[in-house]
Amino acid sequence: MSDEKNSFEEDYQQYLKESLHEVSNLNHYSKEGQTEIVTIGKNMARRTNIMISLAILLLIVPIMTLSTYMYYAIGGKADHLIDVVTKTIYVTEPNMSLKPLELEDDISFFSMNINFDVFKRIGKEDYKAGNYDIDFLLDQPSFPKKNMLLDRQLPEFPSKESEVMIHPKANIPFNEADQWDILHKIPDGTVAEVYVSLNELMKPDDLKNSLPKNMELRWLAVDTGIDADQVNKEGVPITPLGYPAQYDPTTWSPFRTYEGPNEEVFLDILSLLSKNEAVAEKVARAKSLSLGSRLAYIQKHGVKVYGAVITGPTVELRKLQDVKEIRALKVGEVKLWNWE
Amino acid sequence: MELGIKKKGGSKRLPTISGFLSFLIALISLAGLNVTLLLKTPGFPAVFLIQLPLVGLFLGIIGQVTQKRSRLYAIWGLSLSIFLLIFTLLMVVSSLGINYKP
Amino acid sequence: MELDKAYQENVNDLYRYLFSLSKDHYIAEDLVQEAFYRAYLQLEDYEISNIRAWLFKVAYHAFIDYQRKNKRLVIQGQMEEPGRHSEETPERRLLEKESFQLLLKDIHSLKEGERHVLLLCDLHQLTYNEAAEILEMNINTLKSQLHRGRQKVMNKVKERMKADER
Repeated sequence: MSDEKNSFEEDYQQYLKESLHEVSNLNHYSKEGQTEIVTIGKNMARRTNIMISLAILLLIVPIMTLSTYMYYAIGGKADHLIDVVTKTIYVTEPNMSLKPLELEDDISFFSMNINFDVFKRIGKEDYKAGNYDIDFLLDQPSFPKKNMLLDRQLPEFPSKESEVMIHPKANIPFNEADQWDILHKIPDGTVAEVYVSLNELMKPDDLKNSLPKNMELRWLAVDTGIDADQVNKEGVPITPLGYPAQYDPTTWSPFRTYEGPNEEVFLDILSLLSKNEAVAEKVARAKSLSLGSRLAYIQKHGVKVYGAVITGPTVELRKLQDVKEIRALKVGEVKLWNWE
Repeated sequence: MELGIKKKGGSKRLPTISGFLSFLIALISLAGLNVTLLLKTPGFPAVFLIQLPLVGLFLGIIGQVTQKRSRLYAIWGLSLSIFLLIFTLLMVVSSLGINYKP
Repeated sequence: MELDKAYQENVNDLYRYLFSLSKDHYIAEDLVQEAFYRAYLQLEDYEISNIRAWLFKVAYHAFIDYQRKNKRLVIQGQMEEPGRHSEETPERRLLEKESFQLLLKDIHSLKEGERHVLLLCDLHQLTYNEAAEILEMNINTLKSQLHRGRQKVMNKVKERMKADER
């Protein structure tokens, strides 16, 4: 058996040797041919490697851009963030509005920047009050870079001492007589914006009716249960929540209300913001909004106001001193005559 | 017989060239796109986003019609061109979905 | 540069291997080019211990890919009886060696697995380990396939010798 196997192997090797012997010295390629084929292979491989690496490198930026756009576009994420930001301003900044149509966005890698102007109505005209510039990293906003153009700007870090609209049960941190004095000393041919604090909580309509004519109620500060304390549970200062008192004809303004009062829009906004409180708190001046509990309080007790922003000719505003519902007044911006 | 084989040998080069050109054109468009994206140049670079990718797409498809030679370049050219066209489409669609103003 | 030299020394070996696989001069030439292209694609400065075996592996895969892509073409190529070209080409010279041609024919009549093993181990004198590495198979399987293949080839040779004697 093993003999047989061995002889077979020998035969085979012999046969193989014979066959190979004849061809082993046959070379298809000359020396130059060998070099050429290796060089061509090398160059082609090099070219392929370079082109593919280049393609991959060049794909990075478009893919990152595209994924960022997709991130913000899918489900209207960018629009939602813009919505939260603008609505936060309507309900936390007294007498401040913006033009949603003119808001500009700029998207770069995994981030979005939005930029818009804010306005204040003083007398009959809207004055540019400043500019907001907010960077988002995906859906996380940074603190807004504000560039305000106001003479008497509300403080960026609010406190009890700096508050301008005061709840009836809270102390007034400024000297009321001084403020009336300012109002009397402003020249007659001017228009002004004033912050008023009321003696008691009022329904918005009652307040409107009790005001003298020839002035405009702009913004209403709503009682939310913690306004008397002026701080939230943790002791962080809060600012009033409120809403514009007038119909706003600006395109895309949330208060461009054809039906229903602004109050309802206000409540809708609060419930939207309470779901996006982190974003809203970055944009608002107050670092705490406590929206959940404040919204619940309003829903339970109804909309009652304790403060307001009023604008009109200085001469007319002086008459507010005779309105018994008004406890105190603080003068805001003053502009040249534009009333008629 | 001889001729037939020769022809086979000759024709194999052409698709490779079209594939290579397709890849090259796609790379040029990509480079252009990178520049516009990085420099944030205003306007829509239609040359890089539509014209060149369409040429690349066409050449890439021709490059696929080869039986012998490697289709690597043609495949890259084709897929990059398709990527660019889809990129354009998606960018337009998503731009409309972000802060769209009539 | 050393790599270039090492590659150059193996050009003719690879050609012979690919020719023995494809039995077609043009395909073999193309695949030699393809194999070196791939070899450089995968490494340019990398140090490998056994360049010859590695190149055979690259060539083997180049051939397998080629075969997969062009199933129809290969069959056609096999039907074309080689060796009828009028010009003096090397593959003609290869095929003129009658015993080599017969051996190649015998090997190609084997099953695919056995064929590859025999081509690598016997025709191109790679070690069992190298061949097993290239074909990605167990060394014992390789040995048994080699044995069976050799036996079949020998049987054919014997049959032919008997036929010749008659």
